[in-house]
Amino acid sequence: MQAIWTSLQKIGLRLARPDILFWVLPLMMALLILGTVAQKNIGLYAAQEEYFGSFYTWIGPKTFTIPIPAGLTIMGIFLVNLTCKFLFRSEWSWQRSGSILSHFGVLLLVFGGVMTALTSQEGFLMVGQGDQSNIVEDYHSRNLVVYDTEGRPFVTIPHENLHDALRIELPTMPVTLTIDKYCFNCSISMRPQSEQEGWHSPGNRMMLNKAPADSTDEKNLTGIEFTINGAKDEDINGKYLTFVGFPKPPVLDIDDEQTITIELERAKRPLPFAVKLIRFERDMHPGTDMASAYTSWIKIIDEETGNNFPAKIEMNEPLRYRGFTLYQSSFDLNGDKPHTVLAVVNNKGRIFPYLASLIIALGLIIHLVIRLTGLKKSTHKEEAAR
Amino acid sequence: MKNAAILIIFILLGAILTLWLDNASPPEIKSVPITAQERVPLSHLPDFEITDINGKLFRTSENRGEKLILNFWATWCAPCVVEFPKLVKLAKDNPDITILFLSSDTNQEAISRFLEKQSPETKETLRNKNIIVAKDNKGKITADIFQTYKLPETLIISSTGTLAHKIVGDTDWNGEEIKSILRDLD
Amino acid sequence: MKHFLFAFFLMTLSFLYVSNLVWAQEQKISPLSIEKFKALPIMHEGRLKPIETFAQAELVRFSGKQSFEHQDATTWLAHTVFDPATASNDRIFKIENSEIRHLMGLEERKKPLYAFTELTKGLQKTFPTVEQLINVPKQNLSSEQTALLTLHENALEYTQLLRSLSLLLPLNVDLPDQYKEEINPETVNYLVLKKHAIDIEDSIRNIIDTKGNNPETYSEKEQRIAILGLQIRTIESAAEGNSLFRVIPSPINDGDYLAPWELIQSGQATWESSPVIKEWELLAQSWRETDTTTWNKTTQSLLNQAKIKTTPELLYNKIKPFQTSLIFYAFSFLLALASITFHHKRSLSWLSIFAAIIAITLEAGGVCTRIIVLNRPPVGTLYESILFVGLVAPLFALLMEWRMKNLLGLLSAGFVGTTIGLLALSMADEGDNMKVLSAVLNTQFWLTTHVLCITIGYGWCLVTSVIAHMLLLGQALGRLTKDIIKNLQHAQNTLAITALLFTATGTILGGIWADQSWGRFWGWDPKENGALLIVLWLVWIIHSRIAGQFTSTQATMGYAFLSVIVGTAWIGVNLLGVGLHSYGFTEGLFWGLGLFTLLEAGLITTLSLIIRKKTLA
Repeated sequence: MQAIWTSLQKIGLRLARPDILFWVLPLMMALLILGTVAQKNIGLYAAQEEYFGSFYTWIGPKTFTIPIPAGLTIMGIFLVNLTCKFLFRSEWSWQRSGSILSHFGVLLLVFGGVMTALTSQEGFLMVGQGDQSNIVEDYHSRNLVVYDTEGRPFVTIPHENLHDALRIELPTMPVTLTIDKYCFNCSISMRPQSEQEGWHSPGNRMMLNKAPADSTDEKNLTGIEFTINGAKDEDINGKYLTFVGFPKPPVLDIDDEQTITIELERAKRPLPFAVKLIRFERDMHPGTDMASAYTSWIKIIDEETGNNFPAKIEMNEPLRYRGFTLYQSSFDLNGDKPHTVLAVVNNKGRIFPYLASLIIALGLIIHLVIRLTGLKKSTHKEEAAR
Repeated sequence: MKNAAILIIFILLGAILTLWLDNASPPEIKSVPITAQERVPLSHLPDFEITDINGKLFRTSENRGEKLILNFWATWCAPCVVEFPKLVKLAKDNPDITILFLSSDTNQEAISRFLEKQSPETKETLRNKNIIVAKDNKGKITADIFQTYKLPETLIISSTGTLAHKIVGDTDWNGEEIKSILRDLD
Repeated sequence: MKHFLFAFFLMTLSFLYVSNLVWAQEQKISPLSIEKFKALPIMHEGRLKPIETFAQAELVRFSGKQSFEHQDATTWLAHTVFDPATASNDRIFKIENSEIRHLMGLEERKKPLYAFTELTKGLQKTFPTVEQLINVPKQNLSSEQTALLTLHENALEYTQLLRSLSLLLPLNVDLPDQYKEEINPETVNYLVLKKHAIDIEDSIRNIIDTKGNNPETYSEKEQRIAILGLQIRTIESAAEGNSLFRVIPSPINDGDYLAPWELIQSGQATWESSPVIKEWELLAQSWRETDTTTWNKTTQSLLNQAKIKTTPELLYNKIKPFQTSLIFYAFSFLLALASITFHHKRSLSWLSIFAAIIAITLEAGGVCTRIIVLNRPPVGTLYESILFVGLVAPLFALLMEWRMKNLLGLLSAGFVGTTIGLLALSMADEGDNMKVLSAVLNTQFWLTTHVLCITIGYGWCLVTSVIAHMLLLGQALGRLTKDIIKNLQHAQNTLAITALLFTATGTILGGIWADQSWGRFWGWDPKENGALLIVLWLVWIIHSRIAGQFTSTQATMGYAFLSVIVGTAWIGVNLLGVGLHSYGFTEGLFWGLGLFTLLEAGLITTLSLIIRKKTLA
């Protein structure tokens, strides 16, 4: 038992050494530069995923790519180094208290980062003036959803699993859906006369084309062109298309009793309460078209707890309720009534940056004060010695 | 080990705080305020006098303490002509408000002809004491004092002589918005 | 004491000399005093400012300069709005691109400045091209196409200026007889004519009914009426949407200011605004007739009605604190250098300190004025953050001087003040650089905490870098004694930790702001990454020095390189054009930053090699 503990300590002490930090930091800085410059070409979200949200990534010209450690690896090593230092190499003393505190603060910060990465969920809630909604849509995940006659989703496939020639058998129904063309980002053009055979409206007039991914992930228009087989009515079989936000998703009567609707939509999550938009206000700087403030006056309708209350959400002032934070993100004034877009975030690690910041700042201040007053002590000693 | 304990304590602290915040009561706001319009504290309606189409003199100075609706119109202005009878009806329903119809017509006969063509009800109401129909003299009041160059425009003046509302163009005089403006008018 | 007095006397002399240079009044062409007219408030780009700022911004936009033919910008503006017919011959449009000049059919001149009247033909000719260019995304346009578009935009803005007061300026019309009684032909303007517009329209309709559409068949009287009607309609349609010269306070919406045409056309006029329009009529009249008494009386009356006092901004425009302070920093640097060279001559060092203090006071005054005028913390734009760092970095350097007492801190103060002052000058927005902020930045608390903290951190970093450069330079040249080296090294290390305190706290505050506003503490946004880069760099050097992986000289090299790291994080990230902090790509900036990086890397490496050689020898 003792032997295991001793070897653990030995390992811990080795892992706590500052030479690890000496090599990790430049790697992290290099990664930061690479990951930032990459954002110009592939956009913020993709760069985040590739450089900071994965364990390794590839760099170099197309013919000669080499793997390099990415964010998770480097930060992981850093976390281990820092934790071991704190556990095995931090003897408390007045002289060193400031330094140990700041290090501990950073440790908490990174730990909070881990919690955020594991538990954070982001999405947006769009609701029109006078309406209410409790559906949060994801910014990035999209699903192919088939709804049954009662409007219940009974087949859901995430977009990452969609590809050309995918054959989907619908459970309890004789119908198969075969994807002919899947595009993560589609452009829409007119379907030429020669290819209109077998297509149902409006797919006979428009067609989807694979387009390169947009650097702003949310702007990608995901769509599919597919063939239906096995419906009782031969007229129903044939080719269709749909995409995210398509106002007329295919609705098919596959037999006398059942009707299905095939939609591509952003992944949806329900909130445990509903948000009603009472009024959306936008203030402009006088005589300009630059907004100076946005405000959403809402009402929270919570049937679970019975709380119904009005609230105000504006830029830089979110609403926190039951672990969710609602932010004023954007708006849409183009329709018949104003719509507000609220960002909804649920993050169990959110308190740690605040705790950590206090501790880091405290530690740095203590260290600086000790250093400044410590200098005076030593110069007095020097003068006395002369 | 001391430090391991410190670490665990802080993580637990974080977890407890998170749970506590998740279940905290929502912030208190009593109700959603109604949009308040930033109003300029205005000066008093300038005094002027006008002779109505029957030759009677009307002085705004003598009308102090009364609410006033000042409607700039003309017979050649289509929306003015459409809203004229509606305004007359408003005058009938609100005898405590004086309504002055100030026309930019250059020719008094055009006004008389126009009034002749009104419905019997309107003509009857036009005899009420709180309605005055007058013709401006070459824009001396409409343009020079009030800077009105497009018709119709209507000023709603409170009993203290300050401007409560200015309505540019025609409006639904029977509608909710006007009704609530008049209700709030003091 | 003698030295002190002598230094003070010399300082005051030079101050007076420099201030005269900077603050001297421009030679006046018109006998009318512009002083009060300058101070009248106008609403422009979302905030209320004195007419002087507006005039300067517009003139710089067209001609690149703040004065026109020895007149100050406000005089030029008054000339343009009160006397547009003559003013349109002013050569104020600067067209630097020779292709565009050729395209527009303009003659070549020593100075490529052209009048609006010279441009009209060319503008018409190139209009179809411009119509197409408007739909092309900006980054795909060549520099010529951008220049052409800008010229058209500027011309449009200029026409709005010319027509600002066309509704109240006297018209040159041939009045038909029936109107000669009531209308004074000397003072007839659009507003007067508009009252009779319906009459005129009726007459024209009758004429067309009886004589048809051909004006040649009309009698002289009828022609005059037809022309009058046409003139009214032309003026009206030309002024459609003219909302540039917003000097009339709206009687209906508090705090809003309208252009005269806008006031009349939108129906926001009431009895309150008509005396104001009358006063502007008087202004125009007294300007054209050079009637000093009426001019002074009317400008004073309008000024009394103004709801805000524009004096702070006028003072700011006059003193130009950030350009003046640059001169004083340069003086301070040179004097400190001279003092060091001449064995720490006291008079020179006192002069240097005075100069630095004057510069800092000017900058502090400038920053405070910006706070008062904009009513927010002074760090909302990139330019403002440069101004602020230009204030705090020299201050920190002076603080180091107080501790070190070896004149090197003083030298750093002058150096840092001058370089950042020059940087600010090159990055200044054309025209008015006091901007209002978009909604996301419109928060007093976070601007004050996060942005101030980070910019102060940048300030500390820059001073650390300068001290490190001094250490390297001094050691390479063999000019530093062991004591001074120790002193400097200790200063450098303290500075580095202080810099770390501020940048780390500032970065974390930025994360907290992001959490409060957008729901995530850290998003790997370029600006966030840049700030983290500085923090990591500092951490790396500090740690490696303490743990022994870096020698003292290597650590100093690392600290010296902070200048590049800060430059990249602060300004470089904006070049990427992505993320929340992007301000768009500027080619000059990109190459400038690249060159700076190379130069610094070269300098630091060379100095360290020299030092190595010296220590080995």
